[in-house]
Amino acid sequence: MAALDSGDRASVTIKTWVEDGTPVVSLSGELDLTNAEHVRSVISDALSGQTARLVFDMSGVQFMDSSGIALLASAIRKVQEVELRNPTPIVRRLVELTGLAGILRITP
Amino acid sequence: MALMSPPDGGTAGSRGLVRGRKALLAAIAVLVVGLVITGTLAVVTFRGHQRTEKTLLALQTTLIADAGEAEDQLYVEDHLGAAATLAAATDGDVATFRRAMSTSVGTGEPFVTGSLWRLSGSSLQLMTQVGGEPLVPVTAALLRQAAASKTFVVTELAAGDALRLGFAAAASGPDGTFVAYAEEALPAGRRISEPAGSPVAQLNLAVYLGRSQDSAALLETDSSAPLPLRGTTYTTQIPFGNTFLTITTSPRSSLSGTTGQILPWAIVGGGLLVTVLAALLTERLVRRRESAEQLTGEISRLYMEQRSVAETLQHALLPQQLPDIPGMEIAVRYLAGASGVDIGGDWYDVVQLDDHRFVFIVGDVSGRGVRAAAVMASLQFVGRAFAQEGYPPATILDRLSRSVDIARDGHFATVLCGLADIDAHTVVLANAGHLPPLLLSGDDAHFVTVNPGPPVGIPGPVPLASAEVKTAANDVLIAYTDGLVERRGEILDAGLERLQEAASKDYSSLDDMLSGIVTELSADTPTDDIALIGLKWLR
Repeated sequence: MAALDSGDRASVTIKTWVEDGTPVVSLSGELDLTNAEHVRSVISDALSGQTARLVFDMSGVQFMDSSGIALLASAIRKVQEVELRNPTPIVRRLVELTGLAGILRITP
Repeated sequence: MALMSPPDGGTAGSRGLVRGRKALLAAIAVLVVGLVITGTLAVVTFRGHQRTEKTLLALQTTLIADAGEAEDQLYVEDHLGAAATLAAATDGDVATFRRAMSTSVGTGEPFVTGSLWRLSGSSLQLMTQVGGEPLVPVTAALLRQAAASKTFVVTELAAGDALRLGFAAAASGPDGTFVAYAEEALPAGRRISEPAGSPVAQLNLAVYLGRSQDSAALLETDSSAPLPLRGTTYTTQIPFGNTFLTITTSPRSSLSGTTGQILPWAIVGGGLLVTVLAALLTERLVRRRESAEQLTGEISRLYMEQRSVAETLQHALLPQQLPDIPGMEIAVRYLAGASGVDIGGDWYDVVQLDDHRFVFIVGDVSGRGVRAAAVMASLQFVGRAFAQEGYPPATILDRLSRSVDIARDGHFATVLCGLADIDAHTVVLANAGHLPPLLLSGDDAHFVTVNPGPPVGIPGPVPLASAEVKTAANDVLIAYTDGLVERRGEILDAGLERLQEAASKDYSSLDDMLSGIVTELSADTPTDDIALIGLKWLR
């Protein structure tokens, strides 16, 4: 599943799939205030069933602001473990600054 | 409440009046233009019709003149003129004259009477007479006039009700001059009637002797209308003997058919109808557009009002006055972002504990809107309450974490909390996911990185860490929300660097410094709210 934004919104591509029973959300592009709500709704649609774990693959995220943190924060509260896979330096920096590094499983 | 109060009645009323008048003016303009066009078209059509009528009338009148009246001229010349010529050639042979006149004098013929006169010197001699008696005795003057004229002479004769035209034509022979004289009876009362099929039937016709249209000169008419003819008329004059016949006509009905006659009136009627409809339509359209405009204005006014209410609420939630703490200078800034009517959840607070200790808090509730503001309000009250109880910053943040839950409230908050002891020259800081404060000490400016815990509202297994920072006189600590440093499409560290640079410049006061920082860092149209607090140690 993919969604591509254009126009006033920042451009983000969302892909979701299931890996050994764990949903994986792959984000690439830019994630900010202009499209955070859209991304959130796409993700919550994808997470229809109950799941204990959730993986965010952030390898393609070129830019993220505090809206992305809000996205991760709400995910953390919904499942037992949130894995942040391949965070780019921008994502890693933001996660560290906002104290989420301690409650996320960051790989590698 | 201001939001609920109806719009000002007077203003709305006068606006309505202006609106109505504008629509009316537009309708009147359309009406005037429509009337002018209709009138012009009608006049042009009417003129066109009149021109056509006149042309047709001229054409028919010329035909009549050529066919009818000119024939009279020829007839008189052919018969009377010929008789005179014969007489001159035959030396006044009476039999020849009588034979010549036999076809034109008598019952059913044009002439009532005819006679032949010999003119020699000053003597006049009646040679013979055919038909009836002349209406009045033939005068010598008339005969002499005929003898002097190149063509026949015409005179009008009247006796009682009887009217006649007298003609005299002269011809000179070797034995003298002979004058042939004849009279033609005019119709009774000078009235003639044309048969229905005649081309003259649709015209009023009046024939005058001479060039004038005096009633005395009238020879014959078929008009029931008073003379002289009025309205559309055409007059032509044709030579008749030594004088002229003036023929005047006017149409009895439209010569070019009824369409031409009706058309101007049809245009007037149709034009008026279309004009009135267009005016009504214009009035309605203008009115409708204006009410749409007014609606737009109303919506934008309500929007602005709502926005202003939200901003008022936001400002009301922030401390109206900061405590005056000896040994400290404190300044704050709050800038609302331009994100529609939604207010943000940024806040700051300063709580004095005693004469040398105080707690400061800077927080940012995620998301926007009234709910975010409500979460902010509750966090502010809880934070203030626990601060006043003298709890250390890490504990205050832990307590805050219990009053908001992202799963329940949909919001979380990043909060920085510090407890300053002015006498001990220390600040104890705890950080729940908030951006690190900037400490300016001498020439040095660095971010105080306290190992941050997760934002309040997101439960984390790790107990919050706290760190102690030493302070000296003239040190400045700046805490802020992310609206100050975040810019779309830019990494956070760039914003932090900008802040570091802006704060390191020379300022005359702490207040100046905050103004400078805000000017330097806030975008032209900041989307997010900005809360900023500056603390300066005076000792």
